[in-house]
Amino acid sequence: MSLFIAKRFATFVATLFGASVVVFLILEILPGDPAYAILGADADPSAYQALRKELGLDEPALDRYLSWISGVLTGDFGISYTYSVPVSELVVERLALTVPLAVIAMAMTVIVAIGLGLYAAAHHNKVGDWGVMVFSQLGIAVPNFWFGILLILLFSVYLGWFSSGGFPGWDAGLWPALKSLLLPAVALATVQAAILARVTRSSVLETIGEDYVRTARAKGLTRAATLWRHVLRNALIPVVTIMGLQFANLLAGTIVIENVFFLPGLGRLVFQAIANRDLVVVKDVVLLLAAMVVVVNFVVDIAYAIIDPRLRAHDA
Amino acid sequence: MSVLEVDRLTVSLPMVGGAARAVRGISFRLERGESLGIVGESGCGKSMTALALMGLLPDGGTLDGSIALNGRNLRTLDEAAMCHVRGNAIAMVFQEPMTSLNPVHTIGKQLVEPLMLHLGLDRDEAKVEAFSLLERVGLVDPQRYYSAFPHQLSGGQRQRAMIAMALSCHPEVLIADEPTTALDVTVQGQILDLIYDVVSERQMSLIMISHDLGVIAQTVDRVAVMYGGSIVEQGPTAEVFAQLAHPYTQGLFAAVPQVGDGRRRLRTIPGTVPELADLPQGCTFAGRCSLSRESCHHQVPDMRSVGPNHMAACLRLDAAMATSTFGLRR
Ligand SMILES: Nc1ncnc2c1ncn2[C@@H]1O[C@H](COP(=O)(O)OP(=O)(O)OP(=O)(O)O)[C@@H](O)[C@H]1O
Ligand SMILES: [Mg+2]
Repeated sequence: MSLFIAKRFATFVATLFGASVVVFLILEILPGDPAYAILGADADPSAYQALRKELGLDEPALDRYLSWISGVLTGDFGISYTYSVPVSELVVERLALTVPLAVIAMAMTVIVAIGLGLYAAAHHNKVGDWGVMVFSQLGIAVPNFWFGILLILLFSVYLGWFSSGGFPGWDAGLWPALKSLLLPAVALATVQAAILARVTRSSVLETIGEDYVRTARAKGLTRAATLWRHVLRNALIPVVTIMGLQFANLLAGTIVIENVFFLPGLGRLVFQAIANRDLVVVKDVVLLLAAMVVVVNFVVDIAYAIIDPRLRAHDA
Repeated sequence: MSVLEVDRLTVSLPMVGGAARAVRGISFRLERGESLGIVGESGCGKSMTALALMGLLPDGGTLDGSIALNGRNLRTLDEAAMCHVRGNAIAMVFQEPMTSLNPVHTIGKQLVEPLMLHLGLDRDEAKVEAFSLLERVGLVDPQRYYSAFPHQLSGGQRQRAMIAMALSCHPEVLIADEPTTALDVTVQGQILDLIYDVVSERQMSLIMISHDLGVIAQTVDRVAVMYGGSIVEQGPTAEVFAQLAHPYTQGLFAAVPQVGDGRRRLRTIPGTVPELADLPQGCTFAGRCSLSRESCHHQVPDMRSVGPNHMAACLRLDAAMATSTFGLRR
């Protein structure tokens, strides 16, 4: 077990190091100067030089990289150029929106996808199966930002059930806050659920052909009981793999969706930080996203071991 | 009344280019406490016969004829009633112990399932019963096997667990579909002995399926020889082995290596099993039979009596029995 954790931790560190180098280099190469972004293009040259010095932009790249990383390692994530507050504060505040949004979207994805996938597999080659396949094909084909706009048109503009965007904050109460996350979560979940439903369906169909499923039927279990007790858990292994990958997609999706719905989340923060050349924020958030993806992969590995006893022995 | 009476059972399977009849009108009966061996080469329809009896044909497979269990035609039962029969009145042990157990559940969990389902035991009662079943099939130290996962057991141990599951609800008929084919020779005998022991101890009827005449010869009361989806010969084991009537049975017997054969080449039946989709018009064995005449290729032979309860389906029975060099006249 300790070896397993040690290996995991090494992966974690290596991934974050790689991510930090990549994001730093990209921001180096990308045109655009934070000092100009802050002062405006027609800034006074001496004020411009002073700001560059203050932000440390005149130092060599390696020094800047090292001072960023040593800051991160000691818990000092730097100060946002645009907001003039510590990045850590900014991020924590934004996470309070993005994490619940991602969790709701993921929960919707899993429930809808597994339900539809099981249903389609149980009705293989019948109308129900075709229906699920057609809908999932549509779901995959529709871009999430466009679907988000459609949802706003229908539920906010036309039906008036939801506000068309914005976030009242958790202080406004649980329900108003959740309500404002509902449409964005649906927009995020649709594509993922469509993909995952297909994965579930084909995995269930494959599992149904296994010998032990026939054994279960030979014991006298009904089709439904067999599906529930013997097929589902075995079929879940590829489903969990895809779910892990989808979480990263979901995080990327929040950048777009938070902008469509004007939600002050992490995605919108990154988007604006890039536009404003708020480099510290961009670097820190990318690092955070990478860390989240690695952690989710770790959770997926644990999920494998829970699902499949054969995987427990090796890594223990 | 026979426990099981199968009459003109036909199984059609969907295949590219139309349905193929994997089982073609076979009939047999099984008395209480009797054992019937079904022998035949790979692909002759043995497993399909077994699955048809269980009502577990592959998707799209269709059935014709009748299967009567204690006089009740199983074909008239709906799915719910059939679920009550499976694992309860008829149970089955499968060919592949390595894949026939669910890898994510413990042996215990899989074993208590039928007990709770059919016998209405609660979890604790079922566990007690499961322990005694595990001990009965030779998995002593039941606590350990109860909480073991299939991957922690050997093939022989898994097959023992499968047998425990099949026995759990005291079925009247046990179908064992090549239960030892996938096992080491050393454990094959143990597993067969176990099956015969529990079957006779509990007065169950047994259908033992095998492609190996040796597995059948000494142990079952009656044999049925299948070829191309049909039963070509059946009768009491002693009768059949005393006088192998059908040319196919003779060939099958000759192909069994005998102790003392020395370094001679094994005899084989020339040709291969015909594809189900394009089985010949007449006798399905005609193409490989050294005795076949023109008529064999056009006319389907009926079962004819060749001795007490001993029947074979061959147009050239007289010639076959005259040339038979393999009958063990005892
Ligand atoms: N799911 C299926 N769909 C269509 N055809 C099948 C299917 N399963 C088996 N068959 C065909 O049905 C025929 C009979 O198969 P069956 O499994 O009964 O043979 P068997 O006598 O049990 O052979 P073995 O000794 O290899 O187990 C074979 O020709 C096989 O190709
Ligand atoms: Mg078979």
